[in-house]
Amino acid sequence: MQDDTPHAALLAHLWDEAALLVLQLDPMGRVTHANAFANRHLGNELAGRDFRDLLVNFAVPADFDIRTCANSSPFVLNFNTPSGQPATYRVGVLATDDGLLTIGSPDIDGLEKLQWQVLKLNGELSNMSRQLHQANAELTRLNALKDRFLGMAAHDLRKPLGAIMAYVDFLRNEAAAALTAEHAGFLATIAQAAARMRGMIDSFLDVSVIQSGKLRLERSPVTAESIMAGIRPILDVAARTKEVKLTVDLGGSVLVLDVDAGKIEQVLTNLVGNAIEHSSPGATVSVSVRASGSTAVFAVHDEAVGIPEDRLEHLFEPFERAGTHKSGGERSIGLGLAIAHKIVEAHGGRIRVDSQWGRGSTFTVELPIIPTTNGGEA
Amino acid sequence: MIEIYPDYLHALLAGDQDQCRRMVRTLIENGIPVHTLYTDYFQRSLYQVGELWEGNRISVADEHLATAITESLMPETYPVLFGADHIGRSAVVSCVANEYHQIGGKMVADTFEMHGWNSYFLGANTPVADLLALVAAKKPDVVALSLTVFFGLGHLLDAISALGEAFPALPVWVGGQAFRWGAHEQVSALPNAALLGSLAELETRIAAWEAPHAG
Repeated sequence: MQDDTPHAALLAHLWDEAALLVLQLDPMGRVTHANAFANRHLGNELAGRDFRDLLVNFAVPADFDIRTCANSSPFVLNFNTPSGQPATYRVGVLATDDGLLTIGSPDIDGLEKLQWQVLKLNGELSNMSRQLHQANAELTRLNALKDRFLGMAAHDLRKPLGAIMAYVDFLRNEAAAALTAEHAGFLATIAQAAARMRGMIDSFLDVSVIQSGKLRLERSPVTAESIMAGIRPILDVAARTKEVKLTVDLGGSVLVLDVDAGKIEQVLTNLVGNAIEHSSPGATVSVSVRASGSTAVFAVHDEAVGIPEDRLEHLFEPFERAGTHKSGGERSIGLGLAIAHKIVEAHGGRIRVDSQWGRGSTFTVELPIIPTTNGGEA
Repeated sequence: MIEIYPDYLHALLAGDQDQCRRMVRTLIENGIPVHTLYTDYFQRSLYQVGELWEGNRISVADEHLATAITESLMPETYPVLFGADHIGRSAVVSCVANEYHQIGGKMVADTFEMHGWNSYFLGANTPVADLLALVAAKKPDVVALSLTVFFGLGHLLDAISALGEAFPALPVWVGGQAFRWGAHEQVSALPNAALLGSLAELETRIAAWEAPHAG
């Protein structure tokens, strides 16, 4: 006769819902009944399954048999769960008239310890993330300070250097007759060193301006031809000095760009100048300009040694160098390509390099051309 | 500003960290001030979660999960938060010994940052000796202590007294959920301590602090 008292109902509810794994087994160790908690945590199709199959197999001794565990002290077993995450229970086994009754309680202590540790780790992780962001912000501030210092130092160095260069020029022009050959040589060396120093200072100034986001472009329509004409004389001198053949191919079309001509001349002078400096006497440096869709493509090709593959990725970053020596031993501070990259980027263009070790390099600058009625070429 | 608080609270209670993160990112992209995000989302939702827990409507696990999710979302604000110009002031912020709730303290530390202060956050369960050592090293303008669980009051009073003995001129600002239950007089009786009732009150106090003189 069924017991319908509240007391029995509460017991039935606890039997099913309490956080206890309740499994009835037949004499062969197969599940005949599982409570709701067991179905929720071990999966719904428990009836008929061998008890051993419910366990995480690598954690079960080969000779384990649940039928030999009846009435022993509770022991720990690890069960498979539908989530794939094993669950640990402390299990007791009772012998009954029709088999075995196994009751497992969750490893509450272990779970609590785990929860506590996870919360603690989460807090620590969050604190460390805060410290990292704080340190990162401080580094950004220091970097900006460094750029400002660099700019100020370069600006202040430029003035006395200008005076040195002016007086050297004065002496070489006005007092040449009074100078011995040796003294004239000293002055030439001073002039050369001062020019090199001014180049470096100008680069520092450029970097400082670019890094602080203060790069201003004075754009106006200009042809690719006039840009090349503007830099040609100085590059011809450099090529002659290095006994390098410089060829320029404008491709026959007139390409009009909306750029800061001075800045683009600086970029191309740097690229062609580098190509010449890395070339050996007798080699050719070729510059070409072509339209490609809506862009003008300036290509600077040299026959120098090329750039090692591991340097290519960072080549346009400040103070990175190609990892090769200039053929005349010229020194570089590694800012030219970084400046060129930023200038081209500010124009909405693209700069890239293709290089094969031993077979030379090609630097390409792509800049948007002013759209015209005949497809971008004026 | 879009009003997504009810959805946010729903996702938080469901333990849906990804959804909460998406919402917070949307709010930040839409220009919500960090202060508003902290008070109108993080603080408001955690207070509600606390009330639900106190009313036995959610479990302690739900409450812990909501806290953990909120704490994991706070770094979303850091690129904005730590970008503020510094004014040359600093604060050490800490939870006292045996206090394991640290989000309130972290919000306080972040509030200092929003106002251009350098904040050094010591985190949960900080022994007095560690607090004194950091204060000695950093020489802050202010120490702020957070207390969430009332039963930690003794540790808090000990920490305030120890700070008063070691650094008599150093103000100690105190606040947190624990003071819903009283103890205002005990804090006010300590000459170096001031009790602040909310993040808004903290902001007022920070704003009133005179900027350092040049030189």
